[in-house]
Amino acid sequence: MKNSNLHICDAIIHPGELANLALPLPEQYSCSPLYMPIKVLHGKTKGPCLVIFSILKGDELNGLEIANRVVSALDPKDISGTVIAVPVLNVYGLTHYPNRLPSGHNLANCFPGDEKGSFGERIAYAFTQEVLKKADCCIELQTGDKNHNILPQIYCNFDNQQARRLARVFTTPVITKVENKNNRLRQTTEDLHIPLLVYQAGEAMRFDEGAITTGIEGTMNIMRALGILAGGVNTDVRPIASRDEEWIVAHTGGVLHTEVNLGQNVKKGDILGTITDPFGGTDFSEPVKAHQEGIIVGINTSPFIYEGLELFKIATFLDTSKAENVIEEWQQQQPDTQAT
Amino acid sequence: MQKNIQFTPVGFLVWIICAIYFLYELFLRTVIGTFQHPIMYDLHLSTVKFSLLSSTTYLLIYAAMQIPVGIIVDNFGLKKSVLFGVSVCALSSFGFSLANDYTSAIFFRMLTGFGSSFGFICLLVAVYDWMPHRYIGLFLGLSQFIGVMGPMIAAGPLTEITEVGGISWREVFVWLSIFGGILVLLVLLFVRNNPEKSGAYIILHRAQPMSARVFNNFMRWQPWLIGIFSATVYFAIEYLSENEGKSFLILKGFSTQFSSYMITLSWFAFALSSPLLGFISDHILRRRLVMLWSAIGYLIGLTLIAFAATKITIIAAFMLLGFGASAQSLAFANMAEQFKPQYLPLALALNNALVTVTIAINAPILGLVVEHLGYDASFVAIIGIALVALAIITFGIKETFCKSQADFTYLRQQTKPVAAH
Repeated sequence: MKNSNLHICDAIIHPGELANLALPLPEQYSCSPLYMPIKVLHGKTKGPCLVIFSILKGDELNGLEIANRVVSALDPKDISGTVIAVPVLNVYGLTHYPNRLPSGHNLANCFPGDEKGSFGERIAYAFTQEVLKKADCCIELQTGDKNHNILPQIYCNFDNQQARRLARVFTTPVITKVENKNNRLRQTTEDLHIPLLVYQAGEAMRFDEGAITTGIEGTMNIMRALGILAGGVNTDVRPIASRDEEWIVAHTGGVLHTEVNLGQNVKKGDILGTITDPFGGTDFSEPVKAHQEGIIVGINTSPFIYEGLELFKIATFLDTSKAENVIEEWQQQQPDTQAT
Repeated sequence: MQKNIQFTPVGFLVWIICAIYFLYELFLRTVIGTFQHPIMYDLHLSTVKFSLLSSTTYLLIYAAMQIPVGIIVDNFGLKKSVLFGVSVCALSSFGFSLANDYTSAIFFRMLTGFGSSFGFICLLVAVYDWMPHRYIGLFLGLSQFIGVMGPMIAAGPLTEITEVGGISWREVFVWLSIFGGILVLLVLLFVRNNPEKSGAYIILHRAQPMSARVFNNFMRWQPWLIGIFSATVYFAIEYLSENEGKSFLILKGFSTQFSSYMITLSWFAFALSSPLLGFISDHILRRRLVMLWSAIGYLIGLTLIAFAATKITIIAAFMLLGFGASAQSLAFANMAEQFKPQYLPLALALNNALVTVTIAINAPILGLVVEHLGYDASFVAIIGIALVALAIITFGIKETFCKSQADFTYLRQQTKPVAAH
């Protein structure tokens, strides 16, 4: 069936059009205006609307790259439905890093937004009204925090059947359940009955080619699953659901010597790394041990550690050896890439 | 950034003066065709020599100047550029009126081409600087409408006026020089630049190396395809008006007056269709589609001119020719959408350069074809050029949906956020 025109603010996007839009954001005290970039691929034939967005905090660069490369790889003529990509949702956060918003708040918790509210709430309102409400499915592209390298994985609400079904085709080895109650953006998508997938991979302020490639493939596969793109869904990766994930924190400060890799299976009591005296003046050395069996899905890449800092993230599974096999198989399928 | 320009009386005045300059420029370009035989007689010219004087000399300098004019307008602004261009046109017209041999005629014709080369670019810049962008297709069309009054007046009405009044071509060029002088005064008094603004601030642009400005912008296919389309869809109306259109119809058995008026009619159709198609294009937010209709009409019109024998069919054919050629004004809008606003003069210059180069090169070639092979062969070539236009618009040019392809479309939220509680 022929697609109809799409309206975003005062712009009309026609079937078969690729539009680069700039949504004006709340004003600052300087005369430099901020705009949220919105890239719209509006297919000639009717179909679902997928919204992809990234840079919610201001430092998730992998997501920016994934969104841009996905748009570059697509032609509106080849899609059924619509793809709306917002490579940078929080432009203020990106340009004022490490500040996230003028108020210091997290943009995710400004949703669903308020037309008359704070700086962040006004951004959230514009995004919700003009973009999010048009979505049939939504992908948030995330990375770990600064110096936190994360194994590519999908987070979704397991209670949402469609989100769970789609999460299985994202081609990441691990799917993890998320709670929405502490994140107002995720809650907003639930309220709007939009299945949300959160792809997390790599670390903040870095490009990780492997994480980017997996994100692109996963997004394309979601499009195939939704019928936006023609072709069969890639089912080479059969992800395994994680029961829980937990960070191990440092109990002492010093220099961390990591002894494990992402995706590695560890047993309870295994040594994951050692913290030593940064000045080398003593023989001080404290091992960091796994407190439970599982797979390493997050590693702190900074050698300088202070007490209470998150060091290793361990995901637990019902069947850890099966999880290990899935991750090993997935790793073998990945091309050799390096973070930049 | 795309400017959000409102319609103002000052802007209108600037635009209308630039449009009159364009009218003047087009009049100067085509008026020589009206006096083909007296000029050929007075200066002892052959058909080919006349073709070189009327089209090639003028258009080669005109075409060669397009990119430099884009850079000049970019650097010196609208007012100085228009002032310089009009002054050169006025002086060269006076010089041409005194020409007694082929060499001096060629020199002043070249000078006219040089002065005229500023006309269209300045008009387009005036449209983009002063007119609301939402109606850009309409204003480009209206600009063409005013502009083509030049060739229209230069054809049928001028023939009649000069025949009745016994006015020579030399006197006409003196009057054209006086008209240019009046235009210089209007430019001095009313034309001004409209810098890009944000609130109370004027947005400045940092200087960029010439290579970045010129070459980086032209390393893409779309601008070239649009430029070639623009040239091929406009070529026939210009060629027939300046060269063999009238003679061809006379040869077919039509009267001199009827033949002259057919040229006027084609420009009249062109003048009406330009704003109309611009308005339709702005309204339905499509460029390519409207250009495709025009290209089809253009091809049909040319085919009918070549083969039809009745007056009614010829009238319809020339109207279709004008309608089809008006796709050129949409091509300018389409071209502008391929570039960032700061490169606009260059973009428009590229388009106009391709148009004039095509005419300058093909006009003498077709003159030779007419001399050696006859009119039928030349019409086969003209129809071939129209087919190129149709092929390019069908297969090469992408739809822009009236949005910039080089920049973001800046949205306006339907409800403006209000102050906090």
